[in-house]
Amino acid sequence: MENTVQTDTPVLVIDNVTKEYRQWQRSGKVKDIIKNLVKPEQRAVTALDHLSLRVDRGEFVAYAGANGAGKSTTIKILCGILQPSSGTVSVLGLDPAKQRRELMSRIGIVFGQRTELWWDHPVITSYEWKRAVWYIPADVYEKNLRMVTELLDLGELLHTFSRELSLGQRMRADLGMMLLHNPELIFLDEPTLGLDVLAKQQMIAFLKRLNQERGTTIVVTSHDMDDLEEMANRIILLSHGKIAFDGDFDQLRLTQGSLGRIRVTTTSSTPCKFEQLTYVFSEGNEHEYAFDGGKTPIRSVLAEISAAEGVRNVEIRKAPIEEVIAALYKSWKA
Amino acid sequence: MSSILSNIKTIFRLWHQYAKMDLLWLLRDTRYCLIQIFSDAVTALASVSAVLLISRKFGGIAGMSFEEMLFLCGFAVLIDGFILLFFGGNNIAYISRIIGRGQLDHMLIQPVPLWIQLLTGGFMPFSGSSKLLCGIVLTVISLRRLAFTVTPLWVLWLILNILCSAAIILSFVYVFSCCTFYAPVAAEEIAMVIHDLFSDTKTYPLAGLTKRGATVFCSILPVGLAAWFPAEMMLGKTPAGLPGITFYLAAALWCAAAVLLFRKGLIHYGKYSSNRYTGFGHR
Repeated sequence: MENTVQTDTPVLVIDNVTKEYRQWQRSGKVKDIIKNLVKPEQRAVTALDHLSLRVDRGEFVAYAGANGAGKSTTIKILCGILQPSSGTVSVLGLDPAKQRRELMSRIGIVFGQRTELWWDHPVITSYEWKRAVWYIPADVYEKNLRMVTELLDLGELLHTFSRELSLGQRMRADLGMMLLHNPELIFLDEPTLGLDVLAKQQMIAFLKRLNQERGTTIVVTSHDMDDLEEMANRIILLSHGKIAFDGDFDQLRLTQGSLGRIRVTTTSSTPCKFEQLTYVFSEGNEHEYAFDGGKTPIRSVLAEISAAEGVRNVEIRKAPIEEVIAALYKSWKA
Repeated sequence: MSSILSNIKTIFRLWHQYAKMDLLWLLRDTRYCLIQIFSDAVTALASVSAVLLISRKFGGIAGMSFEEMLFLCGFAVLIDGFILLFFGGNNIAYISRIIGRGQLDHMLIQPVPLWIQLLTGGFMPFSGSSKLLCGIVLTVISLRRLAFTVTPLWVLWLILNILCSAAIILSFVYVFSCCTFYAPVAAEEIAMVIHDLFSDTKTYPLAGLTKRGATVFCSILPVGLAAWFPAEMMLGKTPAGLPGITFYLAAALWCAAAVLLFRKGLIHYGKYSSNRYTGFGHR
């Protein structure tokens, strides 16, 4: 894969964007019928609240947040499908609302829960359709078709009807289709949703390669934090329409006290007690403890463990990102 | 000028692509292909058979002879065939389904103007041609029985009238489908209801109505303009005592109303989008 993007201006800039919705409220009571007809009650929902962020070329950004945090709203605004209530948006130097067509020829979008493939046609027909609609030059199309066929292992799928594909196969075919026009920027909305382990690994490996070798900027949303950590270099966490965190995954762990995990294998199924560690759970003779790397030096922790009787093995690892995020979500709710 | 040329090129490029896809879809299984062609032809004939049988029984309806009724029915099937052929695919003629199901998002991420997508996305020249062919056969038979002298100019006039009738029907469908921008669930099938309204009524002549009644059906509820009014004009009559220009003005006004309301609806869609979509593919 070769680099196809410029490396100057930021790929996307969201400046002070607010998006408000109105939701109709109904009491569900018969006595309120007249009131609902004459003066229906509305509730303002702020999906994005003065959001500002910038993504540079070549970045692989995870865009995460709890349900209703505003992730999909942001993606829709960046694609020009939705208009912000206030603030400005620039994607590849273009205004998505006013220059939608030009923008669409330069970006790629995959909505994980939907497909762009034609349901009643083989995958290759969808690709030919894309070639006609995007007006992709023949040489670019052929080159990219060869590339996605090889890297996404689409050989047999190309001539299969889309409706007969499994979810993992469909996602691969959708990804392949999205790349046919050499997009400089890719939005992936929940791309790993419902995929099995192997399909996820294949997709993640492909996206990382695309980002590293081709320099394609990728913005991905997902609820699967492990997937996001494996893919992205930077994570933006949204909470109630605002950015609650923007940085890398290690920095994110630090916000929760630099928690690490130590798994101690002993000769007994009863966990040992350590002063510097917090016991989490046991699986047979394996016992997991949490420790705060910021407060407790690892040398001191290891010294305490090695002094204990019956210790056979020690494994140190980072705190699972899922737990860090869950703790954060919980703290935001509180 | 270059943008007009570019748009025209895009239209033909997309028509070509959709024609190819339609042919591939139709030929994916010969048995299904033949069944579809046969059933479409039967449906087209069945849709006009009741009114033709009544007309045969009573020697005509509302001042129109059996042969003239045959022409009216042929013209009506021609319009249905035209709409099916150009807009029958991918729910383009049933736009409320696209809006209501949140599938407009998929159109908005294509680098092509929305109007071009609507103009080309429903093109199905192979699987959607049987109705048009039935309409041509019925019209030719009626003209022969009427001993009508057909000139090239008259054929052009016929094509213009088909275009205007189709524009009125589709505009009316799009006007009502705009409700779906505001009530996606409730109005999702409204386009189907409007199409049914025209299918059920457009082959009935309105000459038996009072002038006021006929005027209503030739203006705000334009079922009379869908087939009867232009068919009467082409047979050299003055339908409902209204000048022929009424038909073309109505077509222009309904188109303008549809464009205006659809744009307004799109602005609303841009503000609120749609809260529903199906997980089973969007087409």
